[in-house]
Amino acid sequence: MIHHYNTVYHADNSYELPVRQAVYQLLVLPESNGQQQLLDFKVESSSPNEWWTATNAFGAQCIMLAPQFPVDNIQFEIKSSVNVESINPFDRPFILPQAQWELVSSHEFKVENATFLSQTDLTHFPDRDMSHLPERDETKPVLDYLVALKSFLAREISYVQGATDAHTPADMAWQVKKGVCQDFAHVLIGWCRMIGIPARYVSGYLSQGQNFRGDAQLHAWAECLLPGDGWVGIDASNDLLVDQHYIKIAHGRDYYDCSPMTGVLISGGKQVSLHRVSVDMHANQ
Amino acid sequence: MLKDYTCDEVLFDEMLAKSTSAVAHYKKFVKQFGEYDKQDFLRLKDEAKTQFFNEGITFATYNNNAEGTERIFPFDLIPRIIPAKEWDTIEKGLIQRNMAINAFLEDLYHDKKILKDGVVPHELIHTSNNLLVQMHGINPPGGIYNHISGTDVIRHSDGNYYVLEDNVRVPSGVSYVLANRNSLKKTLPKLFRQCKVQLVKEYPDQLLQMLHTVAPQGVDEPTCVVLTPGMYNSAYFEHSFLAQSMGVELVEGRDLFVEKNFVYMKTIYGPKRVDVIYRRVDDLFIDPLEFRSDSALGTAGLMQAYRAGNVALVNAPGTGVADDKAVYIYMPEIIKYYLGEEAILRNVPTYRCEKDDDFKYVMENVHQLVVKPVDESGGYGISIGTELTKAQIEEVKQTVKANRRKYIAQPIMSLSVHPTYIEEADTFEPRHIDLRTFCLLGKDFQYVLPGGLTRVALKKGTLIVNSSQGGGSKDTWILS
Repeated sequence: MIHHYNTVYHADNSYELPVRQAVYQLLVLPESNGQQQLLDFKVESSSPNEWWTATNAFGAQCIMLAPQFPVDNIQFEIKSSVNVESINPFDRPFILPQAQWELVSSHEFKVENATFLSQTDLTHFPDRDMSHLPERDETKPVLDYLVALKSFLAREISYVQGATDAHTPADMAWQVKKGVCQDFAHVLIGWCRMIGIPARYVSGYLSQGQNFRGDAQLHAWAECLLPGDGWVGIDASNDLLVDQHYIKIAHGRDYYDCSPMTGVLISGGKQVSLHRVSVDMHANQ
Repeated sequence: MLKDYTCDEVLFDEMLAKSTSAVAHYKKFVKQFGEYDKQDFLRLKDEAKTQFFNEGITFATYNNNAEGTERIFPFDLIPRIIPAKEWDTIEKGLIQRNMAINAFLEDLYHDKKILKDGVVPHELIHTSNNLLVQMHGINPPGGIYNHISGTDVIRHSDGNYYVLEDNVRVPSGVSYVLANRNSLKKTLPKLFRQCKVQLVKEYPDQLLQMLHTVAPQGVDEPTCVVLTPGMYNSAYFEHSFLAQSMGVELVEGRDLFVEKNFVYMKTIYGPKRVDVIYRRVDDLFIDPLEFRSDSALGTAGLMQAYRAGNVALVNAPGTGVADDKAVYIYMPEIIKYYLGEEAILRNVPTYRCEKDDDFKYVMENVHQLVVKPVDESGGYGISIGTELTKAQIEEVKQTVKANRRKYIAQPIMSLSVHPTYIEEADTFEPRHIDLRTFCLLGKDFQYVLPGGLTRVALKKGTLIVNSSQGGGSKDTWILS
């Protein structure tokens, strides 16, 4: 079954002094992949501008926007329409569990996936302690273990806004046992990489009105690579595997690779910027 | 004038080569030079110095107080001479080595075959700070990564040439080669003519030709620029010199902008599209959108334009992973892997502190080894065992122990020496030298500058020749 969504990303930036020159990079367009198809998008801005699309380091399509005149306030609205196919994340091809776990420690697998096996400042646990994690049963598929990790994480950390910020590293969120979707994703990614499972950070939209955590803002989750199979999306903050309620925008090593808006500004003096982000999503089934 | 010059027998002297009189390729020079007396020499030396001063040929050294000091690059009038046949081998060796490095970089940023085949340990590559995820899958115009390589070559006391290190990020020094030659030709014109020396003045033309070969597809008359971090950079003289002698614009990051994935420079006639950027700005500063967001030296969107194939960056970002001093160890295997050839130029035996056996050896032998950080350049962070006190040796051991991946060690290579005029002693004395070479690779294009920058460690006994450490230089003569 195909689900149709319309997404809206809105940002409002105000500056104390007019910005003479600026380039904004917006990473907010749903990607097209096996599960979802970007049908159309519209870019609107409060100020005359040039805009174009570009490809980032991980192959995601970003919208680049350069205002033509100095501005002290600029607003963007990116509307997209996207189709998402129904999926059952548990429906996977059969692979002998032992063979799957063996792949995890194989040389070629490590080389091939080095980018998403390497920790970053936001994902690494300096003590590398894994003793508190659920026990691993290598007679069962890798996915079973990841599901157990996700539920363990969802039990241990409470979803609390304001306890962490955009720059909080995983080990800090784990220590305070509080966080938002970004923190859940970073902790899970950090654990997976320690175990040897490639994991990447994903930003996206989440279907609204279904009581999901994190649906009022851009959402974040993790994607983990099942050896011999493919990537599976895992949302620890909702204790769910990713299905047709999720619309992926981009992936990267951590949050920094997926920030929805990055601005490079030249301004005469001190700058104060305020961002207001809202996400509207409606499913027409 | 050089007839009383002598050299310690343990050292390898370029002019004497362990004998008492000049070797064949120095004979003509020594004879002609003998016609000058000391008075003439001192006068010529002053003339040369004045020339450098008038032309503003300077180099800034950064000291520990973070105060830059700009100074005249010390130039010694006695040239270093290499016979054609010897140079031929070096030239072939340099092209071979740098072509292999190019193939290596292409592989690392695509299929990583060499790592899968276990020829180079993948941990070594994946822990390198200079491996850039932003480069994965990019196909640089012309397929070239290390367009400009500044391989450092030394001659050991055994008389053989060795590669001391590879430099494939933004190697500098070539402007001094040209300045030295200019100065020497003006100062000793007759001598220069009689010795039949290969010319270096075509370097800027060769460089520009090379830049043209790597223009983006469909661009026949590319606009090339030199991108500099600005006048406070230690090599600013060189940036402006190269731009001027190629006849291209010298720009800073703020002079460029990106629109619709094309790069433009701001000119008084309006925006002008830029196709090839010889950038002298370090990787992490070239694009605040993809690297350091606080960089004011770069241009936002540059990497996206590069990814779209609309601009060539020279050298490509992310080349530093190949001139890592721990990767250097594998260079003979890298050459064999991609080219199926034995390395023409020798490697210095090197210990990787990350390996347990090597680490143990290094810990026990710091006093007789050179310990170097793997990813620095300009001679920073190097310690030479024989010059250290007991306390300093302990310190080096602790530093290495704290970050083993970051350090390698090598036996102390006895760099060859060369007669050099020493002002304080008012006489010619042997001083250690090395050779910074310059190799250009483009699409179906190869060029090695005949000679290069012979750097001299002016302080008696010291082995560190880097200009940023207060070394001087000589003109390098390749005989035809």
